Amino acid sequence: MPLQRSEDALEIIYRLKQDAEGKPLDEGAVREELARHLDGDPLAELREQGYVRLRDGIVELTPEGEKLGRTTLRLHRLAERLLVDVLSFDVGDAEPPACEFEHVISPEVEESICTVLGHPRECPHGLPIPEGECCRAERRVAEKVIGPLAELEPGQRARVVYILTKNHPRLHKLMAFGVVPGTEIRLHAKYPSFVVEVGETTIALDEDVAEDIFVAKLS
Amino acid sequence: MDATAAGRGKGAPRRPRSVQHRRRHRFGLRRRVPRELPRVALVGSPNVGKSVIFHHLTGLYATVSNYPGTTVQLTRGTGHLGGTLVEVIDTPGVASLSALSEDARVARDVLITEELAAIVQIADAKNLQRSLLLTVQLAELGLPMVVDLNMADEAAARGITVDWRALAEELGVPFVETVATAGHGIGALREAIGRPRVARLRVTYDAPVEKAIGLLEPLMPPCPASKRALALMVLCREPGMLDWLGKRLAPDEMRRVDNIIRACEDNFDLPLFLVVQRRRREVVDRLLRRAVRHQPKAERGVYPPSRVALALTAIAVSLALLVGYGGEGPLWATLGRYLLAILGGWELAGAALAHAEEKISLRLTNPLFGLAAGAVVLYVVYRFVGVLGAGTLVDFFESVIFGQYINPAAEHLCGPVLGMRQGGLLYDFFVGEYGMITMGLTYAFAIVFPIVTTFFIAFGILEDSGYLPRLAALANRLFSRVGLSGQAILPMVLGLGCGTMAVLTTRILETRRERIIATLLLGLGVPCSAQLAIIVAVTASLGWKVLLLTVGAIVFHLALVGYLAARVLPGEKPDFIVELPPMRMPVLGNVLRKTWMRVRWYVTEAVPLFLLGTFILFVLDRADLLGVLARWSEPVISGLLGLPRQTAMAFIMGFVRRDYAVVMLREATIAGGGPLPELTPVQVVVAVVTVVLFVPCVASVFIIIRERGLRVAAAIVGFVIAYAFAAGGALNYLLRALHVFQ
Repeated sequence: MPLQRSEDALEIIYRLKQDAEGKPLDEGAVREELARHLDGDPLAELREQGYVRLRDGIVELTPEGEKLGRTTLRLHRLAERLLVDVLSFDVGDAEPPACEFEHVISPEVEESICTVLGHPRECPHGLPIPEGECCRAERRVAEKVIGPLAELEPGQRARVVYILTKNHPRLHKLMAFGVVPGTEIRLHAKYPSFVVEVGETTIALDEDVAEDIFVAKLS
Repeated sequence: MDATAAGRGKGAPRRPRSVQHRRRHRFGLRRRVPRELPRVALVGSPNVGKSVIFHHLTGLYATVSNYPGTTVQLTRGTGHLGGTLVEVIDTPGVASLSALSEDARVARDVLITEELAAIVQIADAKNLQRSLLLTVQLAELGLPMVVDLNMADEAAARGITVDWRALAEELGVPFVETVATAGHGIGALREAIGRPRVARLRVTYDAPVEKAIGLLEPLMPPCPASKRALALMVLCREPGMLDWLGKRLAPDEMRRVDNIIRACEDNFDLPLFLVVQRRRREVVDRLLRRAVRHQPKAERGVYPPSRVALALTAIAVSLALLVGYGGEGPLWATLGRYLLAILGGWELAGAALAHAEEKISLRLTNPLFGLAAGAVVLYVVYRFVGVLGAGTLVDFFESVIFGQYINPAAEHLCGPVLGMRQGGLLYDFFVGEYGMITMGLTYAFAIVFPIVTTFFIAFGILEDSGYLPRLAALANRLFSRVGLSGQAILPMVLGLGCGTMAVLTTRILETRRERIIATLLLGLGVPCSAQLAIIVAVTASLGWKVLLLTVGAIVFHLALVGYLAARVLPGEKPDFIVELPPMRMPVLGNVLRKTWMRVRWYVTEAVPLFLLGTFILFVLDRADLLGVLARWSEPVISGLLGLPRQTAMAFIMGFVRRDYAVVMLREATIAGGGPLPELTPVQVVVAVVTVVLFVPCVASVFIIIRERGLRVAAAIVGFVIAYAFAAGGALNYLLRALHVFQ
């Protein structure tokens, strides 16, 4: 089985496992899902390669299988983030290239991309991105290009890239003041409150809100 | 006004009950506005100068009333616009019609349910991107409108030119440019309101959205606003819209609506309001590209040096008078030096702002500069409110106006003229020790009225200058420890003026939890101006250590209770996101108008409650219950607090007259003066702290009941009573055990 095919299959199984939230994976359901994306019998092939175990109609991932599936999913979603945030792809258009990218990104490249993006926690669809070593260690290999507003220094200018919050009122308020992806902002002060200039408007925010606004440093 | 608008007046069908709103004031001074007048609504973001424009359009008389079913207040007035008498409604400031706060919901409801002859949007000329977003939403409502680009001077100063003619042409709506604070362009605005037009603007949304709108429109109930706008609001699940719709549609129609919305939502990863917003932004960007130019900033004119020189001279003369005559001296010298100081200071402030607004504005949010500035502001306010207001004016009102004229005249009227028996029930009711006139009115007008009026003036100036949001930004971090956000600084500061008004202002706080905590702290320990000056006098006369200890204890208890309340009450701290508007010199006319409205509120709402409190005391006294109450509380007073038993009276009196309690204490610190024996420093500290922490005045209690409901109010009052005595007792034992002052 070519590696790319294994990776695709394991990514699907890993995703199913995440959605199942601890419940065992039914073999029939797994086959059905796999059949939607791959032809032939990927499950048998994976079993041969030692990535999955089949027992009593339940599919289990071996440690190797889990690792590969997880990594592939992580790369897929990181790639989506890269395409959408930095290369300005539309969310819908990002899927096919992301599917290709996930197979060619080496571990070093993966770390760099993740760091440059500021160790994002979610893909553009709002689904979680599995953590990598770099996220855990938060090493700064490449200087972050995109990071939360809370980490800028006073006087710096930046452009808003995305606002990561599920809190609708917060989002609404920020948008009403003009803090939307694409606008340029300037940080004036951090203590005791954040003071930010957006266009001709100056606003004060507290730290929680500043941590949700992700920006790309300018100049 | 064009024929349709005027015609809608007389021959219009009778408005449904739900649209009639005049809150009944029991003692209100209500100016009747005939219902048939065409209505114009002012809409715009906060801080764009809407109220100044409202003032220009309507003059002095305005009524404030609650929008039915809410605690949001709408201001209404009448004015001659476009040739006819019109009713003008000032809606709460909102940045967009997406209604996330009660304020925004009321603004939206006014726009879609009232029959309006015109909508006037007041926009910030320098922030056109934000303003035009609102314009687009208003345009979609399909009602006749006019757009006013206000603060045109600030736009010009930043090098922004707006081709408003191009915008007017593009949208088919009259545009005017104004500088409301200077009165420029108001005439053009009045005239433009006479010829409002329905905007010719159409935003085309994504296909699934358009499809959903098409399906929803036929289901929308009739209303003045366009069905397309309604459908969009429903589709985006704007708060309150589905409930509103649910009351007007049959259940199966609601199910269809729900299905249409869900089907549309399935097409997108983002919430629909974002999808819709995206397209609106595109339209706005197009308009901006066409009409707005940025140029290098205009050469800032230099503030005339002659005026600065004059200002400095005035201040110098004022200081000379102070040095020459000292604190005492002829009346002309005192008034003169106050006047010169105020005028000089005002000019200098204007000059400073004209030169360095941005720098000043930013420094104010810096902790060092900000606190220093805060201290200066505090001092100035103290001189104005505490010394001029609470000192000079109160003395004048109390001793002269009431002491020499009103009270004796009332006594004469009751006694010899009306023949009431001295010492009899009626006589005492009016002019006795707890008489309506001699105590109730005297307190309300001689003592509290000058203080709150000077306070409201000072507060209005602070408000209009743009200083308060900066104070909020400084205070936010501290306040979040006690479960409040920076915005709570407003009611807290107001509480130092009049606690009753402060409780009312807690409406601006976003969550119920915040409002309760703020009310609790106001009820517990924020001393109102009627107490403050005397507290300072009492404790300061015994030395600065006593003052420091007293203030420290009060602040400590406020912080402790706030912190515990924040832990105990469930809920999240609301987000702190506030605009810092440019600092501006306040317009005196606007300040005075605001003060007038607040004073009117005070007279109609608070004064009757003081009279009620006086009546309660009168009854208690008549039934000899005051003495009984005092005796019952003696064990607590002398045992726990270590105070002479006569101070029980001070606490009871403090319920009606906040200052009585402290006045009695002050007299006690002067050996042998007043009904109390002399108090030791420890006793003074304990007494003052307990009195301050004790229940707020009767007016405040009633307002708390009205704002927070009986249950919460009862809980707060009960807690405060218990806590005040507990804290006082603890302080008493602590000070004695540590042999402080001994």
